[in-house]
Amino acid sequence: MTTYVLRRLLSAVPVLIGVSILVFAMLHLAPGDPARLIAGEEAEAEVLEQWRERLGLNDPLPTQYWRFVSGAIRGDLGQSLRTNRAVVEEIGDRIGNTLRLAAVGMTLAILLGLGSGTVAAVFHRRAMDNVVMVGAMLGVSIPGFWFGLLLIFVFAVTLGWFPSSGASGLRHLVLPGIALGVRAAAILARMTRSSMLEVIRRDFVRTARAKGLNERTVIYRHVLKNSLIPVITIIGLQFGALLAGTIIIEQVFTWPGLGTLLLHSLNARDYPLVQGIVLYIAVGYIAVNLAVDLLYGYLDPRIRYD
Amino acid sequence: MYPHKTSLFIATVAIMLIAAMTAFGCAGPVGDEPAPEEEEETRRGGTIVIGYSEEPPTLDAHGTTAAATVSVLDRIGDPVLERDPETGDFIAHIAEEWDISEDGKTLTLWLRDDVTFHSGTELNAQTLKESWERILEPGHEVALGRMGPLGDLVVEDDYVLRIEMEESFAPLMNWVSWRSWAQPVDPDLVREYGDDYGRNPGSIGPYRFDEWLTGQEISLVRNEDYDWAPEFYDNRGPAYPDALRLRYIMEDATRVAALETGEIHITSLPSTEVERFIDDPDFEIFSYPRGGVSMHVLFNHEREPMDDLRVRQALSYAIDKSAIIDVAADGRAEEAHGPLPPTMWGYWDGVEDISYDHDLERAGALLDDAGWTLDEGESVRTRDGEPLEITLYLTSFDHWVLTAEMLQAQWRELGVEVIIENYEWGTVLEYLADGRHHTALMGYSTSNDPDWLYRVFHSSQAGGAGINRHHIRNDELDNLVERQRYTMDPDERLQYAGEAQRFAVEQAVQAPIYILTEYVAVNRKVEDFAIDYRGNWLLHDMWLNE
Amino acid sequence: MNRSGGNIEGGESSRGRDVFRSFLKHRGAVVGLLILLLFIVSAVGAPWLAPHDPYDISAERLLAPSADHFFGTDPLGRDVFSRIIYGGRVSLQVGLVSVGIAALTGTMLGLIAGFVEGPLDNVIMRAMDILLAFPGILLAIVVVAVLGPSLTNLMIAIGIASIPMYTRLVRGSTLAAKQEEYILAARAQGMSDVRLILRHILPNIASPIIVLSTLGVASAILSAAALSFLGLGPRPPTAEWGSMLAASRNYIRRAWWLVAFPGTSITLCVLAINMIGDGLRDALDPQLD
Repeated sequence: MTTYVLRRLLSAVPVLIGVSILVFAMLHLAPGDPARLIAGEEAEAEVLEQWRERLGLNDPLPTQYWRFVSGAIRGDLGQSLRTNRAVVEEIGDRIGNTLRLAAVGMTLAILLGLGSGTVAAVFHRRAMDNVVMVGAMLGVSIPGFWFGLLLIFVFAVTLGWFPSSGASGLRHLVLPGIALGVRAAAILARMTRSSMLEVIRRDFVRTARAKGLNERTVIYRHVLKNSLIPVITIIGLQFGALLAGTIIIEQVFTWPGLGTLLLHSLNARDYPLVQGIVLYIAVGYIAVNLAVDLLYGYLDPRIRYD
Repeated sequence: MYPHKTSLFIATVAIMLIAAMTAFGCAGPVGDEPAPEEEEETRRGGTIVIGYSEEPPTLDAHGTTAAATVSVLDRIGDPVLERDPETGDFIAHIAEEWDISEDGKTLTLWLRDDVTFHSGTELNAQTLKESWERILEPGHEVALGRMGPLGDLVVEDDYVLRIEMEESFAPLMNWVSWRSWAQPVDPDLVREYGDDYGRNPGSIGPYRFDEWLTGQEISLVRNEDYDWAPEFYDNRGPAYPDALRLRYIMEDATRVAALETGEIHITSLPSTEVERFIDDPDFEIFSYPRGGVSMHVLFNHEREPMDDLRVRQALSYAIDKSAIIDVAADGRAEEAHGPLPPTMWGYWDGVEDISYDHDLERAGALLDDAGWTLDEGESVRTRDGEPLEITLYLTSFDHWVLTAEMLQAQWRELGVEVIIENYEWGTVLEYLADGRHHTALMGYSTSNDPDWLYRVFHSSQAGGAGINRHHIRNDELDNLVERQRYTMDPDERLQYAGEAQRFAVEQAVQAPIYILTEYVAVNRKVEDFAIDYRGNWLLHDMWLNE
Repeated sequence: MNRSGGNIEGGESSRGRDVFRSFLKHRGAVVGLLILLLFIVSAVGAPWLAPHDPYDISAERLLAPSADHFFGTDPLGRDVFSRIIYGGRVSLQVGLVSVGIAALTGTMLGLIAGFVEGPLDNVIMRAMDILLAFPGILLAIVVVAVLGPSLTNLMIAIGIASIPMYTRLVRGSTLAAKQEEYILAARAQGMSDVRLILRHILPNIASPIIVLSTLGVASAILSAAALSFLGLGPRPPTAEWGSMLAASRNYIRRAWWLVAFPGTSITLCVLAINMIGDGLRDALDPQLD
């Protein structure tokens, strides 16, 4: 088990190096000059040159890459070109917001997804099942950003129940949380339903029913518990997808998270900041996947790590 | 009117303000009678929330010229000299008196002795000198670029500072009154925070910096010691609100929604929203022409077929400015005619008579003449079998895209195929420096001196060295903008600047389109908000009536 | 994703019929197919079906839906209905091309990796790990932002981001198929590798690829709309649903139709494809994970 975790962690290292080279190369080989953006659209060549020199943009690319990597190993991701603050600090300011939003979205998705999925399975082939399935189908098909816009104009502007932007309290989390969670909820609902239906068909459920246990006990005690394993995997995978979804949902609600920061720094060609954010997201993504694998093994003892 | 020795320079200023006043009516401050004592008490308190679309990169006055930064610095700092909000005259402020030498090289300032920084340190000649000398340090080139040929700063007395320039520098007074990088920076905070000063700024203004929640808001609290408000305010003491919260909401729709729900009190409106708010009794609407250089089409004079005057003129004639304004600005902009904005001193109004009015027939004739003809049944003109196809570079700001789509449609009517190339800002600027474009959309937010003509038209500024993105190299134009730059006689300067503007229009160096009108919506709960004729917000009389 | 089957020998056509029949029994899938057909017909027949030129600018700005303009007009006075019809072309094109890029490249790489194994396999799969190490949409955003927004770059970016899915799937299936006895037998008989792949391995893994590709078209359309919404879509004045939404944000109260119709179109189109994908999944019964 420990060796398995260690091996997985070690195998993440070359992946991260690959990611950093990929991102670095894409950013630096593309047009766009951060010096020009910092110095302003009116800056003269001379001023631009001074900035390039100071930002180290005149060094050969391998030198710049090495500077980035050797810093990263020491936990120093460099400084934002635009604000001159440490990248780690910039990210630290935002990452909490993104995680909080993702957590709310995920919680909503789990409650809604597991709940409606269970209902659909219990009422298999009846009206409720159809309603849930149609809803879930819509949920995976609707663009999150459009759904977010609709939410803003119904609940923030027209009804005035929730604020449309800002990140200072729980109320601010409701609308973006829903917009973010709807897709994961739909996927979870479908997964829960099909997983439960599969379990219901199994022998031990039939036995339990034959023993005369009432339906509620059968569902809660036997079916739900046994169908959760694949659902948990999906929850893990969806959490990764949800983190990605924040990039766009944050734009709609101007949520001060990593997504808005990423787009802003891409436009500003703020290389160190973009590299830092992508690296953070990659690490998070890899960690979530590893956690899902481990959790899966914990829940299903038949799986062995060797 | 001027308590001091007049000079060429002041004459310059006078002409400038007359020009400004005639060009635009003024939106001066709402001058209430000074409030009685008890009224004063009721005005105090509350937090006013202002919404902005762009968050500042830093609050270091010397680290950037970003408009977003200026809007914060304007609250926490004060310039050494103020300008009258209605006339534009320089007026005493932190400098109670000033004197400018005949040759425009030396400016002496006599400072008030009762002004303190937020940290408690006194503002005097020495601390002001340190503050300005900081601009010379590396990393502050942005501010340095505006500073001109600075020679020396001399402390003559505790409260007397002399600025010596190496050469005559016409915009010197303007420089001293600048609302961002010329304001004093708190020397204690600079020492304490070093490179991180931009996150912990301080100055001498009515609000202190309190907290910066990155990506969300900057909060400022009242400076209780502030007792030196400029004379054009009724309130000469500390500000009325306890605090200001500056909230950053990029998305226009979201920001406007926040205005409606009362989450923010003041914000500028996208032109598409103006109509809805203008009759809303809950809001007061202020408007003024946006500063800087108008939206225009740059022609790249080094690329065929843009090197042909007839082609440039034809494209200019084919532009229907009012139709573009209807679409891109919802009708809320003024047509532009020349390379300088009408609010700028040095603007030559003759451009209005010689500019290109929409005339498709004439445009067609010019292209025919240039050999670009339209064959029967075709929609694109050709010359020797080669289609008339040009690129239009721009960045994807909302109204820029609409403008580009309109231009594309209007030029297509003329038989010119337009390929829209949109990239993010940094990439566009680089491509324009390289001269990849046939045409490009451009507009500038700053500039306040006709020397602008030198920067955008002189051959030495072409090819990426400067911002001559027209890539025009013309001896006659070079000569005019050089003369404008080096003469100290304002009349002569006006004449050369005017001739350069005439040349630019006659030769269709560029095609000016429009000057946006800015609209600011203010919740009625906020009283005595005001804006000066240049669009600066005057907030010291402002209070929250709840 | 272990496939148990060597069931492809014989009865190819009868299986096809079975699949078709069970697809038709899937009510949702049939509805989806009908909706998608509507989109395809309108996209192909756009020049004849659109009542107006989608690029024709007029002074009739921001008109509400009417008999002349079914979906109203936009800020430039263009007919929204016609733009939606033409927008369908772009969306379907993006969906098909980017999935084509991803499925072809991914299948090729997966086959190579699974068939050759060894160091080449290792290199390919490590490259896939790198692509999988960050979310597809993030990769697409970075690629388009860096290359500059255009329709081609959009399709390439979305395509690249979904290559690993196919590679993993195909490699796994190939490895499994290689262990099947009939393949071992065919190899022993000296069947060439290429022939083996074409005759035995590809047909064996076709079902999961078809299902994955179908659902992939839906998610590619969604990704494209999202990227366009962020300003990373095709160049103006191209009529594209996502960029139509982005451009209409400022008019949401004055002109609800600018927001309502493109959003509904995206949702409907994606919904239809998802329903078809579901039907195919049930009919083909591939065991996707």
